[in-house]
Amino acid sequence: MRLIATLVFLSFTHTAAWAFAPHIANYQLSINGLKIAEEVRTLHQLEDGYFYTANANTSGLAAMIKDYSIAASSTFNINDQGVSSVAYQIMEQEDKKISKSYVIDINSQSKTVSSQLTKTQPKINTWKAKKGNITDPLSIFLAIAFDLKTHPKKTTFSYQIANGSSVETQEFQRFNNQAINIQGKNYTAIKVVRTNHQGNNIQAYFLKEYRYLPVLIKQIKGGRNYLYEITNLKIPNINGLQVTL
Amino acid sequence: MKGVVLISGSGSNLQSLIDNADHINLEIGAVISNKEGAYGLKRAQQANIPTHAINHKQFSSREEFDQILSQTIDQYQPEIIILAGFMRILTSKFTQKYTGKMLNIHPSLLPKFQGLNTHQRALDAGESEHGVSVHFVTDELDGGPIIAQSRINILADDSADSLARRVLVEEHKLFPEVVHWFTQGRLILKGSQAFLDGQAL
Repeated sequence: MRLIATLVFLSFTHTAAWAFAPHIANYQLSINGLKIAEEVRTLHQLEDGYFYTANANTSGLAAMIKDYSIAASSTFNINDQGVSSVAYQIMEQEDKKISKSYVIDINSQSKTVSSQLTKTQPKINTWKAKKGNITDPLSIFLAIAFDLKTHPKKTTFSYQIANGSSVETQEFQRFNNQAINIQGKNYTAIKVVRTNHQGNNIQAYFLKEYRYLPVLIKQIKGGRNYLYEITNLKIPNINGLQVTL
Repeated sequence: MKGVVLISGSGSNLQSLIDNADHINLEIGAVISNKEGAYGLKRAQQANIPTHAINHKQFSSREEFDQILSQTIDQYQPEIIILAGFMRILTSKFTQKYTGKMLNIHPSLLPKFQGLNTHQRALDAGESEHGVSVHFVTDELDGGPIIAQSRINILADDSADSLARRVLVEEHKLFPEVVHWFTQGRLILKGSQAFLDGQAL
């Protein structure tokens, strides 16, 4: 009995001990090979959790056609089940006008997600979730990163994701030792594939040496090939790591 | 003009209203906080202003909290309700009751960065300028008609803290001025549009 208790304790402390490193990651978004936008994702550590932001703007030729920007943020913490979101918001602007603005509060303990009234969310909605953590569209990749690190032998993962219009369960499968090429350099990554969205699946690649952060995300949606590729990563607290990929 | 100020924290904007009260024709009838330990309550007590602490955690729903809050406000029959760092989302019923006489100050250049952590989000977004907005309160989160904004440049070495400090200076200047427009009868809300001296803002 004491052995089991010790193992449980060690397992929990091992999970809780691993923390995300605050960082700034730059990504390039391409659609069908055409560079469309640049995104900066920044993770901050708070006293009682994390604050994660993503800011994307159209770039290059795309910016000449349409001025489009997305600002999203997620507040989350980590418990013994992994990443648990507290709040998520996203604002999309086209030519400086708000085209989408969602704000949701997330409570995994009470299994509820509720929206705030915004310009494009004129009604308060409440969604019920299942038991367990709830994540959001921004923190989901950190939730996966956390599970890849803390459950090295686990091959399938399931997440409840609240996105402002629903709470849906998404399933992912892990494949180790996958060769990838980013910006002309070869890496061995962990590949994670979303398995329960036929015709709209995501392949994401995570690098162990970069704190399990996603470095490459591929998605085919509506006949288009979307590619998210990391271009720069700065982790100030880990030996001042800064890599330009 | 009689007003009630709602706060949640240190109440530095409340202090700027207290300091300018005579000049801006504001009689603060009461200060109400949803946090018992809010330092702003002490500021009010030092200025001999009645205070109330209504802990939102003691209520099972937003509606119940807002009902008690509304009853407390109404004791003072205010003509203006000022949200000065009140960190609580209000129900539609509450905001509709006080439409046209409730003002909020928000530390961002709305509509950018509604909600929390505005300074860090402005930095993360690579903005070149940041600031503060005063707006009429509607049931949208930080989404009511904007009355006035004050802008500052974001400096290369700014942190969220340094930015917050510099924005706060602007808050302390802007809020009393806008409240003064209201107490003078120059600022009104018509439909979903703010008007100053008859001109749409």
